[in-house]
Amino acid sequence: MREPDPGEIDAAARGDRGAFERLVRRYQPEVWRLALHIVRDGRLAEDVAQEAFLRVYRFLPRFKGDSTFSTWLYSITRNCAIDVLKRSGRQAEIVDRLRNRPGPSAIDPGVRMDIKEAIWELTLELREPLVLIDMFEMTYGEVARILGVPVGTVKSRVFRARNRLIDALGSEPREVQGED
Amino acid sequence: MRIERDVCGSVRMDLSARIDGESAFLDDSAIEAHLASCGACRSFEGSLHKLRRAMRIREADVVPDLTDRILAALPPGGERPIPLGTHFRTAGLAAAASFILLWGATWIGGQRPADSASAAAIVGQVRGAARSVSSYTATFEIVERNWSAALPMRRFVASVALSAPENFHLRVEDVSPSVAGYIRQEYDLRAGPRRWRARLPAICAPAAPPRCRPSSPSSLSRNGRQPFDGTAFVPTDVVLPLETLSSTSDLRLLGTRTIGGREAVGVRVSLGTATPLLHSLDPFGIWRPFHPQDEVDLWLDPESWFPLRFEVRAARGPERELWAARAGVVDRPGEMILKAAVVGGIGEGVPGQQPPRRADASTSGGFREEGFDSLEQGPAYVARLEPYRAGSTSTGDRVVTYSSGLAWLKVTRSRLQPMGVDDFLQSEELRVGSRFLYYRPATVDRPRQVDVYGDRSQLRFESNLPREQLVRIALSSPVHGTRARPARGGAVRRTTLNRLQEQGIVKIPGWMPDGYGSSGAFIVDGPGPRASVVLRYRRAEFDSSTAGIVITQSFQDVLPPTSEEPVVVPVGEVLARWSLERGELAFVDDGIYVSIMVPSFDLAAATAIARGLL
Repeated sequence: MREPDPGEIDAAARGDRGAFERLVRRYQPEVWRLALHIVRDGRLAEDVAQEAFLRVYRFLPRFKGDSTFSTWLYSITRNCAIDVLKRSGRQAEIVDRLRNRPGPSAIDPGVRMDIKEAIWELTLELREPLVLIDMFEMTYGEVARILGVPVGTVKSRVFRARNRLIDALGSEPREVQGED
Repeated sequence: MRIERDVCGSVRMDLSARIDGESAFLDDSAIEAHLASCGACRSFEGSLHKLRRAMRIREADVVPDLTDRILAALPPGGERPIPLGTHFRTAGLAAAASFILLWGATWIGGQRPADSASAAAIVGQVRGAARSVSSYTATFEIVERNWSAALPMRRFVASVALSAPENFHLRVEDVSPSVAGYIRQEYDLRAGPRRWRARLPAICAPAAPPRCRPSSPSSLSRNGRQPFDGTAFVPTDVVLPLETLSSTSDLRLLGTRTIGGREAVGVRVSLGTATPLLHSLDPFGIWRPFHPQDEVDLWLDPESWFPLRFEVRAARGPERELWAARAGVVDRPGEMILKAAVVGGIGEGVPGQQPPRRADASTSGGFREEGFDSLEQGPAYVARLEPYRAGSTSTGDRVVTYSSGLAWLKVTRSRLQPMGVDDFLQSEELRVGSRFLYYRPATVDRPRQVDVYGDRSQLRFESNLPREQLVRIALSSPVHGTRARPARGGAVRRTTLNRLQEQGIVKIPGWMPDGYGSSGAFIVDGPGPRASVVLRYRRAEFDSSTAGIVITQSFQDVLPPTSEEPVVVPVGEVLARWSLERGELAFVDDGIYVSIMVPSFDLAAATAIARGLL
């Protein structure tokens, strides 16, 4: 994600709606994608994206630049996603996932899966860092900051996520045809 | 058995980190040693790469546009007042101009140094804009002065059309006044991904009267070209000044002004830095010569970052006067000697099609399109560029390329060969753990490059992405990166500045021009007992010179003879010899011969470097 120029952030922080709108237009797709991979529901992801930007608008004057803007934005998005999941009544599922207890739709190693399905079947603890690394191309350091864990933990979780995906997808991950 | 499983688990976790480019604390030699004896882990490494590719080529999400919904949910009340009670304009000024006001950059006419944060923001904005450019058309009016006493002003009209990444058309019409002996220097350059064709300009000497002859051949073409092969010049910098503004060194902010009814942001750089910009509108070199220290004012649209206008002004000083006398140009200090300005606006468009015609001279690049191979192990990280073209060269090298807008990446895999001496001397050796990479900044003639050497093959990464991203891409490749040896074997050896300082036998410069850093230190064996120490300094992203700044030292108490008329320059208590043609300052101090070659023929810089050596 390209970082915005400092003047844009400053203008938005001072209440320039035009500047804030430009931030929203630029980053809203990425925020929605990240939210989707956490909450696994398109409608909920929309709620997360809206909530995330409202928090950005509220707290932007306090953004001091001690992290990149994207790291800060992703952290807010993640927190909002967890909040939305809780509000939607999936708290028990979150707890199960975080404790690595597979839910009803456990991965059946005998079934070859679509990769997106396989990613969504991962626990949240493993899915988050994998998505941030592979789809948002963040560094381990940035992900560690977002998740509030050591870099070594990020390394371990990404490895475990990939290990599970390789097992779930078999020896030949089936590639979905992308857009040209 | 249990111990073996733990080792495999540890290695596999390291492999997972390695494909993410997180190699700083990995022991590559231990990993490679384990892989050499463990087929299961080798298979796992292959699965990692396949998984990475599969995640990248996954089905695209249909992203809803939530902007209106988000904005509607904001608290009412409009703009909040700025804490000091003042308001700044939000209409009519684009984001870049706004931040320039906030950061307090100088207005036109001021000479304050650039605010580093604003300069860095402009560089970042230009880079970021590269991915969003898909097509471009514009017409430039060019006015050039003092090419010849008989033709003191020439005018050209240049039409540029581009469809990213490799379709372009540059047509230049010469609308200069008619003068006896002068043949209008016009040309037409068209390129597509697989072929290009050019109608060449006449060749003219700026004598009085001008002496011109039609070029021979009058047209050239090339078929079967590799992607991004550099044989056809794509005028990227006139669309977005990616290389001209690739770093903040040598960049001064001018402020904002209105050009053609549009707000524009101005920056000033030296001509050496702006070489890619000028070259993009003058690939055949029909313009008059300029001194590398001449200044270029570049005015950019702060929304798109397209250049709207640029001007070249003659630098001041006795060195430039000396150069001008030898180049045969008569310029007043500070005079505007070239101006290029957009006329009629910038728009979206694609190069027009023209029926193919046979050129006077044709060559073939011999590239065979083959498409991407799903089993191919390329770099795991490609900076979110999309697969573009892939195939094989006539020598059997495998080429894969990626692009997004104007940003591109090319990866060439070839059989392992010793590194050429020139590449060896011009490369900065980067060491990451036990891996070695060889980096060269972009020049006018070639893009940024990183070479990685394996056991049986080597990879060359070329791109207009910034150095940091290109290095990260190279680190995510499956080739380990062994130390390279030059083709000449032991005649040239790489050393380090630290080692040389410890030995105390050569002088290390205490000053370098802004933006230059050490790219290598070498010991070159000479005849008899004569060995030279060569120190090289390059700019990190783009260097107008292939060689950069080169400082050579050897035990020798006389200067080598020269056929040039010597120009003697005092440097401290030492008298040095300045060669204008080579851009070299040479002297002997305390039994050590020192040669300082500077690419911009900048005597002031060479003298400052020399003072730092005494």
